[in-house]
Amino acid sequence: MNDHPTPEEYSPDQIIKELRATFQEEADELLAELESALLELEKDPGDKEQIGRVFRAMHTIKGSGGACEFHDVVLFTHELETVFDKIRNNKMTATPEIIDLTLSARDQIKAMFDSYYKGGSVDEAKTREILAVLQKLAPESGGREKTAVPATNSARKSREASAVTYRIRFRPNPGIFSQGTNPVQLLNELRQLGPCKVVAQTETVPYLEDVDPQACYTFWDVILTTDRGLDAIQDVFIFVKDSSELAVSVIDEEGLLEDATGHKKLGEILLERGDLTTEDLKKALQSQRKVGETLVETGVVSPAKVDSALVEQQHVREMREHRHAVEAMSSIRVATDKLDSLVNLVGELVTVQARLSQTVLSQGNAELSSIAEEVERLTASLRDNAMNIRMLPIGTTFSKFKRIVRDLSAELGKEIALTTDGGETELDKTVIERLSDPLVHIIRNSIDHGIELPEARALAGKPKRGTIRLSALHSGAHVLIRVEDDGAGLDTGAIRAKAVAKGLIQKDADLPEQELWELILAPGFSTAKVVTGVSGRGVGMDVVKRAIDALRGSLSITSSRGEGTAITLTLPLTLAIIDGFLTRIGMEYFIFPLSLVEECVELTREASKATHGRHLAHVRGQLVPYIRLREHFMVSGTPPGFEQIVITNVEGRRVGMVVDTVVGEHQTVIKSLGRFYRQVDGISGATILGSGTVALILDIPRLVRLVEQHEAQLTRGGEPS
Amino acid sequence: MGVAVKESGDKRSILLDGDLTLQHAESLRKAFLKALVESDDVSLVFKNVRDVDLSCLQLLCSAHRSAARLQKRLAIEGSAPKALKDAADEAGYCRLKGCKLDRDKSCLWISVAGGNHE
Repeated sequence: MNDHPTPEEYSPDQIIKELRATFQEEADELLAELESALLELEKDPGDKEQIGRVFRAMHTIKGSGGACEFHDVVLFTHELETVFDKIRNNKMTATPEIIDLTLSARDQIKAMFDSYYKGGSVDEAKTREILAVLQKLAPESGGREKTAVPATNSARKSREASAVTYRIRFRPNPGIFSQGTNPVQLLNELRQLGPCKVVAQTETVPYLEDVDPQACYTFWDVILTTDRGLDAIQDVFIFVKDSSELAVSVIDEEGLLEDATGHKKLGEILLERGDLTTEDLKKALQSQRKVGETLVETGVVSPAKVDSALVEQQHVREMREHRHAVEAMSSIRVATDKLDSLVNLVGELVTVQARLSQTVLSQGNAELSSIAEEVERLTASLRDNAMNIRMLPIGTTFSKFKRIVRDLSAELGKEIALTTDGGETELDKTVIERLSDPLVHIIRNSIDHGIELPEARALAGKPKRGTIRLSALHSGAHVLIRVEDDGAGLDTGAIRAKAVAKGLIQKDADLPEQELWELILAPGFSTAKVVTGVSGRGVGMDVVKRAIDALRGSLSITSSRGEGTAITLTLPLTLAIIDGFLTRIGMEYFIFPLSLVEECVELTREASKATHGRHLAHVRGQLVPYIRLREHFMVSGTPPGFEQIVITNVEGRRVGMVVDTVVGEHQTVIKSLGRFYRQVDGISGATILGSGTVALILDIPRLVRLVEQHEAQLTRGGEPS
Repeated sequence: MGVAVKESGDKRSILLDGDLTLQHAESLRKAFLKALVESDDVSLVFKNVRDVDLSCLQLLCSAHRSAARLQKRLAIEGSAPKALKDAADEAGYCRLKGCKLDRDKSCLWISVAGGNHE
């Protein structure tokens, strides 16, 4: 019985819908690849490799787009492809205009895909406009339109087809030159079908006295691996096949059983080719030497034929190795929600495991304890693995910024280069996605406010071309992302004036530079003298700040007048599960992110009294300020005689948090707080403990800032009312 | 294309100046033939070569095979020009082993394939 649905059970529409759904991510990747290749090409318009990249990306967009029946995309890309085909064949050069046009064409293709995937409409006029320019650039492309649309079917076929290796022996008619055909051109056409090895057989070339220079004596053995099928090969020879000898046979294909040695023996290949008889092979095998050598020495087979058979052997081996490597490296696409649900389940498991450990501990059963420990170990590694699956290199977003820098700098008449570093740094997929917009804001700001106009830069003795450096690196449980520019730096005077005008600070307030810089993160703050289309509307940095806060990250600014500004984002690796540090105050549980915890010290009632309520602890000769969480969160009851100060590292400073007792490390599955609790400051989430109790996760940097602000208000306004 | 033959003692040096294409093949053939009749040691010097086609690759091959049969020497002097290497590559001529006649491993295509180019 056949369990598979018959083709009738799927409607064509449904198939297309499914194909399109699978294609969505690939389309994004292809468009990103196209964009990055174009930007590289712009730097060096003659770079063959980049031209090839552009061409391949477009070709795949067309092919796969065709398979998904995005007819508009196919038609449009076809024109582009024609232009780049000419560039590839040195018939045109990639001028800045063509690259510009192709970039806007790329945006138009994106709009076409988006109109299906995300809804919305495509600016048809723009499509026509781009098409008109393209057709002007490559006039004959219009005639090929016809072949472009039916390509949808063949494209689908070729997507499904696997690569096959063919052995081709091509012996042209001696008069082929006079027919106006260059056999080498045919070989080049074969090369375009896929990886190819060509061996010319010259043993039939006569001696000088007999040779007719107008005749072709050479014949060829070609080993070609292609997924385009036999028809494509025969098409190459369509005009010469009647007058030439052509033999094509399949020698290797995917799924073919491979023998133990992984390749055919030399004698076998020569036999198959008809270059050797079984008798001769048997004779050669009897000698103790290598078959190839014996055959050549006895004159049974020419060295070139042996060479050609060896080339075949090697080609097949290479192709198989490549196939295996691809198979081994292959990855599968999984819908994000499946991953999310996996992470959720792992989260639940971690919680239950904590409960199991706690229960086992109270029972004092040694056997059960060892099982619980095993479960704990496995759960931890399952957790790490599940988290790892969600990790993506941040470089995927970096490429997008190159385009922004290019377009905006051109718009503003500035010369800016973007350099990136650490693109391989991995970060949780969700963090990367939510980081994209804030980074765009920061980079836009650098372009607009940071980097000066070329003339101004020249006057300041700086290179005309400004640089924005985007870098990412791991630092413990965090990733640091830094956007640096070598522009004018922050104008502290202007910031101060603006802040006073906005009523953010007192006129005579004496603020350190660092705090002045941080004022730009305040809502509605913008010092740009002119509002441009790029930035300067006063929305931006505060939005960035909020987005980074929402990611449990922090933002810091350093700047030097005339030299540039650097904005550093510190982000957690993941948003789902963290290593926490569990503490208790009264009956309430609080969790510190373990990455921030430096050490714990005891705080006796006497020591506390000795500082006269100034909340400072002496830790090995150093004064560490502390916050009494019991007071801050208004936990009722009296503190024990010996309290604990958990010393944390907040943006390079040591700040203590006083709790009643320290419980210990805790794998914390972060649960977001309900909407009702969103406004609670100093808390970033909650988790469920093994006992089923809820513990609150502390937002330490925020807590410190809150207390500092409160203190500042007290100092400014005297005693609280 | 210009063909000039320089004699120095028993040796012949054929200077080929320009592209090696079908229309020059016959004059090339004659020059090779004459040099191989007159001398046991013929060297080829290429100059200003930008294009080489299959007919001339065949002819070079034929010249070398003829020389090998007569146990004479025919070799490229210095490094083969890039255009010749590219053409030999494209036509599948470059190889690691010479033909049956090539007993002293002087096959032009081995030297072109492995030789330095301009």
